[in-house]
Amino acid sequence: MNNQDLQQQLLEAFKIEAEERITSMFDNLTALEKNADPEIRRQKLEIVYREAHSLKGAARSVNIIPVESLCQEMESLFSSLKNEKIRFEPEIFDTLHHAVGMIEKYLSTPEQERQGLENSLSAIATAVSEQKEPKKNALQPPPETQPRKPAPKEFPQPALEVARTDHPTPSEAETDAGSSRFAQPPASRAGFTDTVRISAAKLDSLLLKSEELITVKQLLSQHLKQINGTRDSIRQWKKISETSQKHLQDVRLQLQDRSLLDRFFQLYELAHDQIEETSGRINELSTSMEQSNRVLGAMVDELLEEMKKTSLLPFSRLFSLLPRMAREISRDMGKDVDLEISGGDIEIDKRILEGLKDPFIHLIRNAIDHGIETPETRKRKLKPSWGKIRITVAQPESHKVEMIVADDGAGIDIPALKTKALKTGVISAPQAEALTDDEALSLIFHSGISTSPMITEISGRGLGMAIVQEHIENLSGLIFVSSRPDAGTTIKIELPVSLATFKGIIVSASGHDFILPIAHMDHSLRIEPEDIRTAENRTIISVNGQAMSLVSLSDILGLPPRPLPDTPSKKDTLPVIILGSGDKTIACIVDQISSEQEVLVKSLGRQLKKIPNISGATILGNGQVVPILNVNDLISTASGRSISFAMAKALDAKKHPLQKSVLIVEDSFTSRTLLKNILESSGYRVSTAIDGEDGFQQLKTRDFDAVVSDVEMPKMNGFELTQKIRGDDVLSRKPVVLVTGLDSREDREKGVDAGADAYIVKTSFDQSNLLEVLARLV
Amino acid sequence: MNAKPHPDDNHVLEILNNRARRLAADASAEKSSFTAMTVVEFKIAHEIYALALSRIRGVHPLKNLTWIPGTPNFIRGVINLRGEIISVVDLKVFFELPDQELTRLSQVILLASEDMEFGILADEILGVTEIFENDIRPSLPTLTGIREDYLKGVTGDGRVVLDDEKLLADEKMCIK
Repeated sequence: MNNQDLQQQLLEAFKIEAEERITSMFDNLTALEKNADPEIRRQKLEIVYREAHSLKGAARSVNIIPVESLCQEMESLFSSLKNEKIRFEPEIFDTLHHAVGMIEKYLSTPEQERQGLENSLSAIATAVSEQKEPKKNALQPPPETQPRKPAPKEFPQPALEVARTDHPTPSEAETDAGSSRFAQPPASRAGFTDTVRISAAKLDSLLLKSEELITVKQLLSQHLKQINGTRDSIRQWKKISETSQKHLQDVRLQLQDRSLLDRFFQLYELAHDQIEETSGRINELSTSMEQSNRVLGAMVDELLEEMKKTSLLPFSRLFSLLPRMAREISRDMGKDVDLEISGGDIEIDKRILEGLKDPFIHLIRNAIDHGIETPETRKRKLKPSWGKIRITVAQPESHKVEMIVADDGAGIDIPALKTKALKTGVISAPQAEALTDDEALSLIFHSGISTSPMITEISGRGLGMAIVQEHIENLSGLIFVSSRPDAGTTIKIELPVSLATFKGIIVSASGHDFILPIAHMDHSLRIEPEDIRTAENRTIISVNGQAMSLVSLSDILGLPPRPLPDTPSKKDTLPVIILGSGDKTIACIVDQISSEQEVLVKSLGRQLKKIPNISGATILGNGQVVPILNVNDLISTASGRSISFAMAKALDAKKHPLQKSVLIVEDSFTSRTLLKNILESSGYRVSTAIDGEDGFQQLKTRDFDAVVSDVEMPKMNGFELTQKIRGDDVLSRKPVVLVTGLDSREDREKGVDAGADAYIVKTSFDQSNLLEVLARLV
Repeated sequence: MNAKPHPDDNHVLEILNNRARRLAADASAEKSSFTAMTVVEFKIAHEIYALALSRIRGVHPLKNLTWIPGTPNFIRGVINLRGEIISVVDLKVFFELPDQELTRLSQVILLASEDMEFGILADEILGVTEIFENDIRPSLPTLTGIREDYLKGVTGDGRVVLDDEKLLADEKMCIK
């Protein structure tokens, strides 16, 4: 951003501010004039006094001298009134109203045409100044070209007057262009910008409310899934019905006496028609649901996109304070520094921009303090005596902003950095040897080093870089550093454009689901247990030829490891995610990686203020709360750790071909134990559940080769469980064996209808039967 | 009202003394003349508890509880209440009661002050009733332990009256 842009921006801001102050002065002057209560008069006077003072300062900062001088005079007149050196006279009010009106007129006149008005302003300034004299002459009539403003009481637009007093504070919403109560030609108001001011809090709550719609969207797609599930089962039903109809027909043809069957046949046809109709209806429902889903989804997305834009601010907001700061610091340091800024028009969430302020000031200070050399040194190095700091903002992707702060100073002294890190014990001698320059550079983010004053002196950039990194990562950003001796240092920061939502994936560990922000996920892969090696007491794997520490999410979170589930497609591989935060990466075993999600961050409530490794939570479409992992925390918790003994054991078990696992769902303790014994002695790995609900829960969290279930159980019976399994995306093909005392044909059919693979009646239940059935199924 | 003003009007002091005595007698005898507190009664581990209604923001069935790793044991997890996430406290664990079996914890009583908010698990909600403050006695010797610190007292019929303000303001309840 060049100076001219900045000036333009300041002018825009000044116009908005001036309009507010002018309005306030008008209102308060009128109130002052009308009110007899000395206390109220005192208050009003104080307000106009301050307004004049502030407007004076604002005008000076944008170099509008005529306004500044007039405000100066007004301010001192108010001051005299305050000190009761002079008394209120009607003429004083006239003059003041006139003066405020002139300022307004002056400011709303395009800059090129202001020339003629300057004289009028200074004439009024003189008039104001004369009011200050206790002897007080009659008001000088303003120049002919400037007709006097009518006194406010004669004002022709009372309606707007009322509207104004309804919103006395300038911070409330107020339109600039439309609300003036002055009968001025529209052209003269062209200078004011067409904006509405809304308090940030209101906007934020609006944004949050729109973000809630994401949940609605997810809910809808959930419903669509359910409807489609119903549609599919009705289709199935229809097919069965058609087949039975054919069979019935055959039977009918072979019978002598058809009358009985004909009645039944008629009924059956009716039933079939009903199915047809239901099927048609549900198809319609599914189609329209799909349609509204799409439309609503698009609307929600658009609304959110637009809402997010309202909370975006250009980087120039942040940058506008940098040039002065850079000038001051470099003057103090006796250095000559040129600041070059580009990309200031790129916009980012204002919460991120606010959070960037401190780290940014820090980076600039560092660059000047420690990066750029003194002019003498620079000359000696044959560099231009003026050091250069370039700040570049770019938006490589629509959801990502990249920011670079580069100086052409001395660069970071890597050997000195290593020495210091060695001394402070952050790294060991062999480690120091092994460190590449890039790895060594990342030492500047180490708080143990950065707090040491010596390192600051030697290499610069130490102090507070850990804090800068923390700030950036709290904004879901990443920070990188690179440096070359005498060529300078470059800090790169990557940030999301918007804070509120991000992309995440659901991972599970020990049966619990978590959201992992995709920004922190480098990639995922599957490894074989044999790929895990141990080096220096740490478990590592090799990723793209690089050794990487391997931990397990369950271990880091302190969860007991579960037997690892088998995935049907890739039997013995383990899902591993490569996590990255800053320059630290780590490989992490999870139980399962599921779908990608748009994630809306929620706080964990007022009670859970800070929880290790968890940064918040989100609510899925089905209403389930899922905690969001804090990757920075995870990596620091994991550093220096290996996968636990328990985990290693679980992995070991994985290396050997697994026993087949069976889930027994049975409410009776005796039957449960009996079944368990039978199956275990036949070499199955057995788990038990006490009812259908419990069973289904276990099926959702662990993988079994088959389910053996009782029929009559509390909460969820065996039929319901079977139906639920068949209706589930993941579980639908799981073999289910129903074992029951209900030996009626009706029940047997019910079992088959529900989708059970086998139905074993307890009366006919002997071991061989069940085992044979199971062996066939798994 | 078992005592009448002393007939001797000449001794003001005596009248006052009598009046004081009368008031003191009322405190232990008559319910109706004392302030009642509206409470929600509920069951935890086969005992009846009561919490003043003033800090209760609602009662909800427990649904979709999500456990959060790294929280103390007495935080059973979080739930979603109309888009807001609320943590759920199990008082059985918090009070270190011996019987910590997870029974059918089916209800969540939402408790909130300006700076704190959480749900309390209850096995069963018994309803809303009134407790007379003079019926609340300092806790029984049997109710010792951690729980004692969070009690207003115990009613004559053995209902345990919890101190909502203390629970809400307690340092241990705030996980930082």
